[in-house]
Amino acid sequence: MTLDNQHWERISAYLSGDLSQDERNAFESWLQDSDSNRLLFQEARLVWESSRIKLRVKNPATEEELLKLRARIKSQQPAGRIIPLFRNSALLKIAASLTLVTVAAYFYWTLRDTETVIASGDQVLTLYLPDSSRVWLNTNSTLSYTEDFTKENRTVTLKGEAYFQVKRDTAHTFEVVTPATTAVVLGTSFNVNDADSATIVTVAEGKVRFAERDAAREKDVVLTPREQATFHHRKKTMDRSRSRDMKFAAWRRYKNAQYEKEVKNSGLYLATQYTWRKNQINQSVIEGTIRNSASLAVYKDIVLYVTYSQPGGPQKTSRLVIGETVNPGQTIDYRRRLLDIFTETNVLHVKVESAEVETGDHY
Amino acid sequence: MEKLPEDDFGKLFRQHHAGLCNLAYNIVGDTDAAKDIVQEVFVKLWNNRGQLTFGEQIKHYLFKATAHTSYNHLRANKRIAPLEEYAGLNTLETVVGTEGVEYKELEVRARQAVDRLPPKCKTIYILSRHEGLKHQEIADTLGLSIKTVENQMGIALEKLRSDLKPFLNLEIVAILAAIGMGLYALLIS
Repeated sequence: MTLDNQHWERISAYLSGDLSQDERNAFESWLQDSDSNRLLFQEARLVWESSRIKLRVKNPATEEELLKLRARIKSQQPAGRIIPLFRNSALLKIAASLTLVTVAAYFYWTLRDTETVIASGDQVLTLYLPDSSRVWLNTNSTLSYTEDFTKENRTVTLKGEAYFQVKRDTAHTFEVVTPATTAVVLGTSFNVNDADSATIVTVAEGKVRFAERDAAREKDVVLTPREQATFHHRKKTMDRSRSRDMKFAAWRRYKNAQYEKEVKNSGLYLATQYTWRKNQINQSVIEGTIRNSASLAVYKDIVLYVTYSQPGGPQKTSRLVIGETVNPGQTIDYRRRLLDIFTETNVLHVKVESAEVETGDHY
Repeated sequence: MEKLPEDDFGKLFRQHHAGLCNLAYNIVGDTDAAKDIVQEVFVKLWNNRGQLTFGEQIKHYLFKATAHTSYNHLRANKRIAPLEEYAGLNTLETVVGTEGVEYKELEVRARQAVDRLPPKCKTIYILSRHEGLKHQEIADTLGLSIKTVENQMGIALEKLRSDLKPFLNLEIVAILAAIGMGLYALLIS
């Protein structure tokens, strides 16, 4: 190590308060040695003092993250614990282990793995799988998966109807199994409706390979966006058609408490980041982005509430309307000017005041 | 050993989530990664809830676990750093705009320079400068020797100085100019 490097170690330790009293004294006398030592220290101190900026996460979305966490914890819970009952009797011990072996074997052959079952009841559920894929589960439907969900293929079993937004992972294919069919994807969005007489798969994005369960590979159909395939359970035949809109996924908005929240409190799901400056004719130019973090709600006509003031001046307000449509998960850019040419604006705040909810079936 | 009911777990999460996200974000420079890291930390906490005592120490545990996980993430994902540099600056400008806090150009440059430090250097520097941790505490948190921490702190400061050199000169010229003005004022009075 060079002598120079040791200097830097001592300077940083001095600045962070990691030197003992003796070391401090030695350091201060080193400073007295030469002008170049002092200049070096001045520069280092300026760097140290200037690097105080801590970044903040704009929208930590704590509640949403807590839901995600709980889903994750739930999916990894073991089935139960074995409590030793018979401590003293050898005979009982043998009997107990025999019983245990029998019970264990039974569970091994019947269940194999702990299964997580999610049943929706009379409300549409929005949930995350352990791989962060999002699922909307229609009313009176059941979705289940086993403990080794993420180990090899990501397999879920469905009874009823669900819409899947699958997190892309080319190493683990995502598979939806119904009593009669399977649908295999890598990372897409699609709807599976397993009714009594037929299973219908409709694709929103990406590609889905759909087939009768345990059938030969040649019988697969590969569906692209807006394509729909119907497998008739009795006839064992497959029809293909096109879906002209997203109506097939519209059920997600009914009886869905999460969506109702998104409609009522648009402000909670819209966040804006922005910068502003004065242009040559002294208008404040605001440039920023708006992000929609809702699960389903599509927002438009977003009203931004701007407050600004000049030093010592009264606070003024202005409203800007962003007409663009913002889909869930989407971020849009905007740029607007204020008519504040006679104001030496020095403080300016922008927040989302309200927004309209797009009710068409675009998403 | 105390039990940790689900309700308290949620409370603990709500209490510390934003702060830990910020800590992770300052190290990894990516919001989504920061949130994932905090998720990891809480999943681990839940799985180890039998072995942990829940009291004041839990805060300390969460802090350490988040810092360590962030450090590992940063080391494993160094190559994506340049992309996020831009995002970091964006947020920074936002903070400037919204809070009405005036950061000097040098401070903004310094933040960018910190983001450009190599993973180990950056993590150690942030823990010392932002979180006020002593060298020994940093060594314990990241599982490094104290010698490494001291050494990396020196390297960090040296790198930052050489990175910011052009802007430091401007600052120092400004100081000199102020002194000059002062002298001038004295002379003419």
